[in-house]
Amino acid sequence: MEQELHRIAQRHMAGERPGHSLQATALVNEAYLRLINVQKMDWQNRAHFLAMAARLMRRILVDSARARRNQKRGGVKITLDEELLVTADRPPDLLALDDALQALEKIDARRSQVIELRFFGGLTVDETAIVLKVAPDTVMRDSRLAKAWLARELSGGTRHDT
Amino acid sequence: MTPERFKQISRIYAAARLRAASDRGAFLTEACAGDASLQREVQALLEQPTEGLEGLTPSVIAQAIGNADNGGLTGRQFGVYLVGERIGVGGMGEVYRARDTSLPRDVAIKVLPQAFANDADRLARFEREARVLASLDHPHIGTILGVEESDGIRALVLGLVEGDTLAERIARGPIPLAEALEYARQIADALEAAHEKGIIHRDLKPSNIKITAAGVVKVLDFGLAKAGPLPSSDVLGATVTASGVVLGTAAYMSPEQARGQVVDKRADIWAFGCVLYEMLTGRDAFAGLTPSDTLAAILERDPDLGALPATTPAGIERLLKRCFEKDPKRRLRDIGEARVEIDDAERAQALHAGSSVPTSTTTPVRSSPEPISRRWLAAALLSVVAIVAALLLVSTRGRVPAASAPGQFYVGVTPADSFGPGPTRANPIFPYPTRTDVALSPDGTLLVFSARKEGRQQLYLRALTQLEATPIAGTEDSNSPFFSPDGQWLGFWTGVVDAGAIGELKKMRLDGSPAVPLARVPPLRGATWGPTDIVFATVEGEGRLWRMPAGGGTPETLTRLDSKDRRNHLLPHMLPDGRSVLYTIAPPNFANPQIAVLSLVTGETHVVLDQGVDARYVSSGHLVYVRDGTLMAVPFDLKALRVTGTPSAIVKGLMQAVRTGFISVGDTGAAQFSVSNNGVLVYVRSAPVRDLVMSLVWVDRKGTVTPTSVPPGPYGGPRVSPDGQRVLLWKSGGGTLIHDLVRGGLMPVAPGVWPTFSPDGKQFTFSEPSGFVSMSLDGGVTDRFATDGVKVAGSWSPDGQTLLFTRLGADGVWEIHALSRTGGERKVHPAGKTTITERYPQFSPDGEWFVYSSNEQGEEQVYVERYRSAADRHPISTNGGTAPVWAPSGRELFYEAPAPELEHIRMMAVDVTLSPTFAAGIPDVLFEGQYNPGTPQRHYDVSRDGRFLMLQGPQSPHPPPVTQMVLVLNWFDELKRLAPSDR
Repeated sequence: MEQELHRIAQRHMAGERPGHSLQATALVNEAYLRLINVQKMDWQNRAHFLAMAARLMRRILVDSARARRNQKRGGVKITLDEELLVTADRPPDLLALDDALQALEKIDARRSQVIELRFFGGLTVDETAIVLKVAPDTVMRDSRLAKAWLARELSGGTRHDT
Repeated sequence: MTPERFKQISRIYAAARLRAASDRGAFLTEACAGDASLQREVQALLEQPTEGLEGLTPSVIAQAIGNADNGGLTGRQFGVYLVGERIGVGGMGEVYRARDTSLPRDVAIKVLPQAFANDADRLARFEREARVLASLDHPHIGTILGVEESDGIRALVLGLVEGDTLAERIARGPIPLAEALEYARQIADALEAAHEKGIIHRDLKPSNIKITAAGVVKVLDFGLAKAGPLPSSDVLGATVTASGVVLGTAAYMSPEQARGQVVDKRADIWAFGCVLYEMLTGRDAFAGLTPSDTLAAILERDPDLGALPATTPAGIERLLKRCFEKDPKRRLRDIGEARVEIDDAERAQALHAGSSVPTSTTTPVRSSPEPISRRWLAAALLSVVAIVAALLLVSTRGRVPAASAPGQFYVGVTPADSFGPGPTRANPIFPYPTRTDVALSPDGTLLVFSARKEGRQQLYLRALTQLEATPIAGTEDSNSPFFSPDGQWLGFWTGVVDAGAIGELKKMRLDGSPAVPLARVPPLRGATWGPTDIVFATVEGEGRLWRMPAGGGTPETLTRLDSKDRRNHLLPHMLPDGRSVLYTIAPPNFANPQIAVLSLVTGETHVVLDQGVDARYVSSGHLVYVRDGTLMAVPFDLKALRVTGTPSAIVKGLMQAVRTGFISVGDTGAAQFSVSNNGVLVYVRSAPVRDLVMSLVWVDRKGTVTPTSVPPGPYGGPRVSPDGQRVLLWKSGGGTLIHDLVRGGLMPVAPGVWPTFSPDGKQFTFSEPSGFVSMSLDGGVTDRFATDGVKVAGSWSPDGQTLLFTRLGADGVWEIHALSRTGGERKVHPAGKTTITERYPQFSPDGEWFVYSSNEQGEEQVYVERYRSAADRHPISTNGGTAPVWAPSGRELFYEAPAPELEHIRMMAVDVTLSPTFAAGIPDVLFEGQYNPGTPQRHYDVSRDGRFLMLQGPQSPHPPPVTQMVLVLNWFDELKRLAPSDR
């Protein structure tokens, strides 16, 4: 199924039709449409699924961002009108975030996963706690530290690789 | 860094965070015990923000995939244009700067989305409008240079407008009054020019409005938006409305758009109000955390005018109020009026400018634009992964707590045209279903609904994994779909919904195998499928509730009607135990309806809830039912079979079959919603059913129409007084009016409806809930006749002693009764218990005979019968007839016959002889036209001079077709929040 999702994503990313701009939701919904087909599969538990969905989404988005970066020549201003909402936030650079998360995973897998579940999976603190089998307070603490650590990584802070 | 080191860091970091910032330095020094590198590390982390990263925002996704194609058109030749850099990307396509190689100018090229370009109708309309706009060459409308096609790509060539959008401008803060009014005037100017050409913008919002450096407004993207509120055909596909993704668009949607109705220029006027409000206050006129919140705000709340700058002229505030009228009919009629209002305000500003504080710099204290909260981000994120998650959770069948936020989607009826049966000959007024016509499979994966396409109604199936529904073969003219508990079978009823009609209860598997007929029964009033039996309600039988083996067999009645109270048993829904059924007990007008439980084992019943209709038990532990078009929920104890909490309103504006204008077979109370066992809700919103506005006209025998001085209105049943001086009319919503044909005028005269004159014309009789009331023409009550139920006066006998009238029986058909001043009341027709409708009784001028219509032969036909001698009966009409009336001379009969065109009738005339024996001639067509829709009273009359007083119309359009349903995932969470159990 993961492969299937990936294929869908790739097909969209490849931009089969010039002039066809992929909507954010289209990808996700197609993912859903495929996923619900497999609803008869025996999901061992919800946690397994949520963790997988978050991982999946991370992979799809990061791969897309990478593909896009490789195609890009120069910056393009994205005006997020219509379906895409204007936000005041500057989004994190996905590729840098992914790199930083991988680095974090090497030294603290759980905290890395907290971010993956919260950010890519969209899980609430409580849901994350269920998935990781820890208390919600722990998720909050893990998440604070992980974010601080990532923020420093992403802002180009000093690395201590010793 | 090693994991061990990181653990050390994290311990100290966590401990440090518990301390006040001022104490942290000392704490770190102590905790790190001289390890300077450790201390630096923790210190650095403590300085980092810990916000964000709580979910994917649309901007993150856009970053990843927003432009994930091959770089688009940049560098390519497109017609005569050399395409340059991409200057924007949005939902309606990408925009490029391009060089016109034939003229020394730069243009903007907007590539139309594929879905748009593939929609031939929409594209044609758009191109037509684009041409008109181009011909306008308006200073405040973005120049449209043409629609070009090259290499299969369709694009719009636009004048290049440099400058900020109004959205960008507002993002920097509210716009000073004078400046805002100037922009508003230019926007109004643009809309006015377009509206004059019949072009509606449909999606006016700040991001579609550009302001050049010179302060000139350019309104862009006319007509690009879909006519409906959301691209309904794309369902779970392209447009997720769940979580802020279309918020930007939703915020400017008019109530009628939000309801999925067809829009006209008044939707632009609404949006104009939103834009003006936003310019002045810096905040959205209607804001919600989620689109559904926003839509709720649009439908239910008024914007906070207190947020306007204190200097806002009263005229502008008034203008905003008029733009924000929820009812389009009451909204500012013409954007030109806005321009006038703004001109006035600007003039007033200019007068004051010299003497007082410059208003352009004053902005009163107001709250800052709502910050993007975490919850908001979380909501936005839901649009993405959480939908996957939510739906998967749904599929795990509630073994785990469901995800936290409900997701809401619009589901279109495509490829069908509209939800429900649409206008039919039996019911041209109420185009919506009179039976529950949506059903979700128990596992929430399949949706079945009835819809109409090209004049044909049938059932459609949509797996939620599909992008479109497919018609189910063999379900033509079917309604009332319901699933078996295992989701393998679909039950439904096939036939024409009409008084006295018989159709077939059927079942089918959804694998394409043919339908299996189960029983021949009148139109259903609800059906439900238990472990072994199907329980259904229809107009026949003692208790109206029936059961039959789902495998086939003979139906048997279940409940026993209380013979006194004329209340129906209908809308059954099986409880999960399979041994008891919820059902509704209600009189035909649905006054004081109740929900009861019937035990299929013992046959016992008890009432569980008052003021409820169409209750279903849902596995969150609630009864969900409808009260006055609002979906209600109340916790329910399945063991004790009683409610355990207070009812809460959940969804307003649910479509329900009451006040359908077709009370005999249409008012079933059936609500358009369905809930799966795992918390998926589907429902249909109702467009408000409007009164039919009719014109009172004279029509002569040749069909020549002469207007009267009565203004058009929601009238019914004109009756001319015998002296030809006065007319009685009843009004939708209640009340009888009197019109003086000589002196004019229209005066309310009585509170009831369905009036008929006494033979001498000095009095009239009308219906009230408690019975009939006779009144003199000056308004004094002269008599009262107590009788219950829904009843309509037909006519008095010439001696004034007997009133023929119709009453709506509990089985949904009209019966003819006679009320005597001396002998009480008796039923005249039909004899015995039948499902035949007989109505429109009228005595002949000599009182010996009466005319009426009956559908005992199938089609409704006109008969004359000797009063009190039923055997002496004579058919009058030959090809269908209804609403007969005697000519005052008694030598001729008139009646309405069906005309080929929907909503039209043919006025027929038949010569009759009453004595010595009755004889009738051959019916002749007098004229044909759009007259007299609806029942239950004859909506025309004949004057002594042989002219017809008719109601022509309707002048107002029918309720708009409904093209989408609303699908809510994880609805149980919301339910538990909104309707908590008291225990």
